[in-house]
Amino acid sequence: MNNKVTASIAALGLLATAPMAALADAHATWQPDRPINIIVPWSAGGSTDQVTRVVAPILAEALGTDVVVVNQPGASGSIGTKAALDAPRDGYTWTANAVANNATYAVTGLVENTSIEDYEIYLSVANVPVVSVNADSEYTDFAQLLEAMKGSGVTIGTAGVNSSGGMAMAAIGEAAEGELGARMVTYDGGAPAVMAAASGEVVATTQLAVEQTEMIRAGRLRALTVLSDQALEIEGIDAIPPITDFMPDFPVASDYFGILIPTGAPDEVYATVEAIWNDKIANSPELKAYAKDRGAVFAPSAGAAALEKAMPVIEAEACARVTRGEAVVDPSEFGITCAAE
Amino acid sequence: MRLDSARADRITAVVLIAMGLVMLWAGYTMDRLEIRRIHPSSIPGLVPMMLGVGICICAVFLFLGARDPDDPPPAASWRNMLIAGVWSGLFALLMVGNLPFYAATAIYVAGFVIIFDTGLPPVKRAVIGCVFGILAAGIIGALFRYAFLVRLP
Amino acid sequence: MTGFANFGAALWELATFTTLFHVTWATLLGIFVGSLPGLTATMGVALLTTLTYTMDRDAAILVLLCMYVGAIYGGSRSAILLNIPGTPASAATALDGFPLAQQGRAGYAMGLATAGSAFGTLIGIILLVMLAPPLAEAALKFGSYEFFWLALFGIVISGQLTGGSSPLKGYIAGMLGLMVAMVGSDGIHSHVRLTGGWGELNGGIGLIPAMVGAFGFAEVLSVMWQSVPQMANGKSKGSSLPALVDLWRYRLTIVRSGVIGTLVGIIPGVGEDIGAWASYAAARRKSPERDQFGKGSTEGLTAAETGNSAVVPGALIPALTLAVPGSAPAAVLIAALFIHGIRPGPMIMLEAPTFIYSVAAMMVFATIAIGVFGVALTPLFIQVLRIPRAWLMPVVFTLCVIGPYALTQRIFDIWVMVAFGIIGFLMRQMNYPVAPLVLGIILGDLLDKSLRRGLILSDGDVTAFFTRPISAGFAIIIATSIILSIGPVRRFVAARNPFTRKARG
Repeated sequence: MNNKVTASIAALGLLATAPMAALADAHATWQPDRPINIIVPWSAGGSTDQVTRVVAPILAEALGTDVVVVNQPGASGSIGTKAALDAPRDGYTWTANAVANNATYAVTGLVENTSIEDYEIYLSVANVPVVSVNADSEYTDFAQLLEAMKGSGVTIGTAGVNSSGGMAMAAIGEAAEGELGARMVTYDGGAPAVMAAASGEVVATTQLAVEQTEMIRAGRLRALTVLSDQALEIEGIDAIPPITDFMPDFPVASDYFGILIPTGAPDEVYATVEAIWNDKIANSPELKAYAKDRGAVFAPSAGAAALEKAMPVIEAEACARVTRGEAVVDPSEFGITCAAE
Repeated sequence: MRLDSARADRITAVVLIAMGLVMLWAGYTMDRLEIRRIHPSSIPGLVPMMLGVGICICAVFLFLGARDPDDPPPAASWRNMLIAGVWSGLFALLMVGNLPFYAATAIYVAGFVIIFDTGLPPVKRAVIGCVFGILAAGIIGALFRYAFLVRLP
Repeated sequence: MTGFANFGAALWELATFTTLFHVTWATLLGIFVGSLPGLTATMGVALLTTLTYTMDRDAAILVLLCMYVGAIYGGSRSAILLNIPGTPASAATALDGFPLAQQGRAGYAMGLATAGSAFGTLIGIILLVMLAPPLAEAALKFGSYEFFWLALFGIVISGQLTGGSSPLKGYIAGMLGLMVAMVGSDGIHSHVRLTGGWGELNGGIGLIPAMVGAFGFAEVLSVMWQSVPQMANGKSKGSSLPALVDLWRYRLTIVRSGVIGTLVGIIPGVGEDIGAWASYAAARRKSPERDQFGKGSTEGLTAAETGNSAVVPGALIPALTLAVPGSAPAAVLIAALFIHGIRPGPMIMLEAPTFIYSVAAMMVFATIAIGVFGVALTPLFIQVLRIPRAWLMPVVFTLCVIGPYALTQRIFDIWVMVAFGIIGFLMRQMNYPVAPLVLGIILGDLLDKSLRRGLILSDGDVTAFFTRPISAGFAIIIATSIILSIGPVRRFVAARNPFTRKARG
């Protein structure tokens, strides 16, 4: 019975390939003959998974083949990433992630001998962390919370040191120039960490906006600030003030999410995907709606332009690991230079 | 030979105590991650240490309470088990990944039938075994390849 | 009661030919996925999500729900017939289902499991309709301290239930499972533990390959070991339609298991497997024929199957109302809902007030489908038992190899499967139950993380684990059941308890 579904999808795919012919002119168009796997190295339902599952059907339609999202979570995303790198470089195995992660797996020693050079990258959205507290808590603006964080009573829920929330908390600590007494409490992912703040188990959370919008909308969390240099506007919520209002020197680097295709496949693979990206994803109403609804920044770009956009966050994350003593390989080996301590 | 005797339990108890001690030691010497300034009661070695102690306590009770079973041993064929185990192991560990999945499965299933279906005359057994092997490989492979979109090894 | 009125309207709206068609194929596929060892409900739902991109919203969600319900139910088929749980949810089902099949009552056992699953899902659906918003709120009271006790509770109870005359061996098996779960990157600091520098182990030892090995490959070895194979009896006679008398006799068990399963489902992060064990434990405690549990008790089988199926609607309660998955397949379902433009979360009752009732109605259709297929397919499934072992076992083993591989596509997982097969076989030979080992692997991560997270929250203060009411209750129950399982204590208490004396006398 399942064949029927596959067949009907294949039929739709064939229809969708027709406009493709007009699309690629300079390069030979790549026409995949079997399903493409996108390995999401995080569990289903997380921020990477969410955005990948919005993008995948658009790509499937444009490429005329099934695009299967495979979740391979574990060890901060390094298991799935390694699997994607070890797969045959034929253009049929992709991965998806916050691109700064892929650039720093070698720095932390989680995956050996890899850098951002191993991929062509296709960015879809930028995500920003938001500092929120439980709706019943006494803190009404970020300055109060920051003062309290210097003491010892505050607990902050994140998805771990390597997660966006953990990096955000570390960045706040560094910008505050002093020991933070606040304790980081690690959860399995962004969603459970946000839940813990909403239920009052922890005082605050520093996870991504996309993971918090539901709880903020429902009035269970109070958003205090967004780690960006401009206010965050999400439908149905008051604008969230930027952290630069409270800490003017806070270093801001947008965290880009997207799809990464390991290098080594025929050139037309990358050219075709780039053309689809610029034509379809960059104009996708689904992705725009997702970004607007969840508080992400709609930021599609592909190829060299994408790498250029992502470089600041890659550098920031790689160097933060050096500062915190987590680096086992010097980032300069991968062409990332950090300011001297 | 039977593995549910009092002697087997005592040997297991000693092995478990050794494992528990290794676990305790591994947990104790495990990196405390001071450099990352983690909370001292959240060190990664905490639960391994507790499990090490726990398994040692259980093993002591196991050693003290070891009794021989009352019922007679069931009729068993260790030879069949070993042959089946080794042939299956060969298939899973060597053939899959080195041979195409269809070929590996067909050889394995056919081999299994030929070795164990002793009720049939040899020639007939070989023919039926091969046919069944090829059929089984084709059906299982196609099921996973086309219905579940798995890339076969 | 507007809830039920909405529910009725949703049912009426769904009763179309298209619905019927989708329910039929999706449930059948679900039963199929569930009954193949290694393929789980989570995988089935994730896989279908990619295939439903192009369908319209309601059809897509209907298909995914049918897959979920069908897969949880389908796991009971291989548990009963082959003693290999098709999904982790059916490990408790195998305890009584397989002995029944050995006695030549496979058809009867499958019929009973079908009825149990159907009733379990229905009870869960009723609770979903009645209680969704308030229950979701209550589940939030489960914090790190409670999760720690819940994990410990699971190990202790399953060790005790499956250890038979020697709970000690059950506890040891459970602890070995916990030790296995310690391998790999830890859940709090991502520190890699106990891998001996072996990179493949960084992500830990996979539950599915370990389970398929410990049940599947170990079963293949055991069957080949026996001179007279103790496989399920193929000459199964008698109707697969369970005698109505039996169902009426177990009405209390069914209702209790359904409620327990639903409640377990509501708690985020614990799924069908725990639901089955908790219902099984409760049924055994209350049953007058508790000696039969583990030897082919029809009541135990009913409890386990009702319990795991009731988790499904239960898990959807927090998934829909809080966007917090109550189980792993529910997590994938949330992602799928989002793709189709439904935003699960606290706002859903405002934004799409009838959606919960549509979901409930869709699950009613899935339930009817498993009932029909359960009865219709039983003769076909029974045929599996007539295949000689020399033919059946290599096919089973091939599925054990390819099933876990299909999930992650790692050859390493096949090695894990083989290793656990050998461990599982040795454990069986030495009279250790295998189920607590698997439960230990499932719960080890939760236990470890909750304990350390709780200690960070309380700033190292251990008393925080005893002072909250739910925590204190768990602690007392666990301590009592461990003390009571010590031989001399048990005999002492039994001798002085007038109730048990009367029952024995």
